[in-house]
This record gives sequence, C-alpha cells and structure tokens, in this order.
Amino acid sequence: MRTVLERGGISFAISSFAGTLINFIIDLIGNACGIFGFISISPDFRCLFPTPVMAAYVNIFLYGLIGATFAMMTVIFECNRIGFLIQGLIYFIVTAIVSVGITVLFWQLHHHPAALICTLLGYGVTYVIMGFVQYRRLKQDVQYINEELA
Amino acid sequence: MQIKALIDSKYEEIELHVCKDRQDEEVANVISELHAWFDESLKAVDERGNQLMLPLSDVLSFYAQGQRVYALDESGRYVISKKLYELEQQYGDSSFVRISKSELVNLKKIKSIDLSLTGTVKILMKNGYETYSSRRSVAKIRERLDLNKKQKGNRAEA
Repeated sequence: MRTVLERGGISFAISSFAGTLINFIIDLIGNACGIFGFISISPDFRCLFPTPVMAAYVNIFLYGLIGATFAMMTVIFECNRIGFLIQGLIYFIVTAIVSVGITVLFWQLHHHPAALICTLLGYGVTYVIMGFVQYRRLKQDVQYINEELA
Repeated sequence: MQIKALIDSKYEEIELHVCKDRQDEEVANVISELHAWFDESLKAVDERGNQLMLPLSDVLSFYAQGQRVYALDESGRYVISKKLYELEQQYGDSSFVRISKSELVNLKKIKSIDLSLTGTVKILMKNGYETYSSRRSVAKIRERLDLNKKQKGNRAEA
C-alpha cells in the first residue's frame, strides 16, 4: 500500500509539472506567434469556472490525477495469478475511465467527436497490439523453455 | 581425526579450522569437501524449531510470506534467516531464478511451464508444486537456460 501511494504521489507531482510545462511552452509559442494573451486551455473547460486562474489550477490537478492513476494501477501487474492479458485489460479499463472521463467531462472533448473517437481508438488499438505482441513472444519463450527442460 | 567444538563469544558464526602438522593432500581434500558442503547448504529451521543444514540442491523454491522467508523442499518448508534479496544475490547466478517479487525457484527442479489463454504463467515443479510467475521472469528463465547451455558446451569443448 505504501509503495502504491508513493508511486501515485511521485507521478502526481511529475505529471502536474510536465503538463504545466507543456502548457507554458504552448502559451509562449502562441504569444510569440502574435496571439497575445493566448492560454492553452480549452474554452469549454474555462467556462466551467468563474475565473481562468481557477481553471488553470484545476487543470494542473487533473494532469496530476491522470499520472497518479497510471502509476498506481501498475500494482495490478504484480498479481501473477491473474495473467498479463487480464492485467492489461484491468489496467486499460481503469486508466481509460479516468483519463477519458477527464478529457470528456472537464476538457469537453465530446464537443469534438473526431478527436474523441481518434483518442479512444488510438488508446484501445495500442493496447490490443501490445497485448498480441507480448502474448506471442511469451508463447515462444515458454515453448522454448519446455523443450529445453524436456 | 579428532573433532573438537570450541564455544567462545568472540565467534559470531561457525568457523572451521583444519589443523595438521603439514600441508598435504588430505588437508586439501578435507577443506574442499567442507567448502562444498557449506557453500551448497543453508542454515534452516524446520517447523518443529530444529536447526539443520539444508542442501541447496534439494530446495525447490525460496519464498517470502508475512515477515519470513521460507525454503521449500520435498519434505516440507523451513524458515531461513536471510532476506529474499540476499538469497538472490548469493544464489541468483547459480541455479536459482527470481520469478516474482516474493519467490525464487530452483531451475533444476522445474518440470514445465504452462501458459494459459489469459496470459497466466504457471510453473510446475518436479514434485507437483505449482507457482505463478511474472511475464518478465519467463525471459529471465530462458536467458538462464541459454547461458547454462553455453557453459555446458564450453566445458565439453574444453
């Protein structure tokens, strides 16, 4: 439990920092390109809050929350009894619920259906390909080991 | 040959001294046999509390449960005073391989590995004991088998 919370805490901090840094760089580029006062926050998201500053703070928190979820859920990969495909599925479902939930509910990605579909598809297809490749490699390794042991 | 025991608080662990009037083949043989026995054995405590030396070649696996580390062989389990990472450091290069956060298994005692459709990796030991491994450990087991094969090949050539 302590390890999980530590992972979550560290990832929360790193994700918040990284997300804020990327926002800052985008803002700098936007302003440098002549869009003065540009802030890289979705207008739909900004409307949810009384002030842009509050929206920015919540944004930082959401970055951290996504990172913490990804890190904390890695604990599932330590449960050897449930198989890595099931581990991957559980990991995918929980992280998708949190990250897609945030992008839809807060960042209002559902207002841009093409972007939402691409995000979901990309996320899902990556996991399927990864799972398939890993399973095949594992099967080859297991076959080789059993031949050597026989 | 005389065998004497010397009990003194200055000895924190067992020391063996081989004493003779000269260095000869007998001395070398005795030292060699003692090394083989102690290096290939481990201090353990059985379930009745009896201390014994457990031959490593008989150990199927070392695993951590609760605050303790146990060694499992065909006749039962024994408490080991070392930590799992210490056992891995000491025996990880020989016939033991780490298969999960809490277990090391003896490669020479593995019968087969079973991969289920969901990706569960089950290791079947020669005495029927079953345990589960992580995906990454399978690659480690394969590497170790390859290394052992290479070493055997080199020895045969030599």
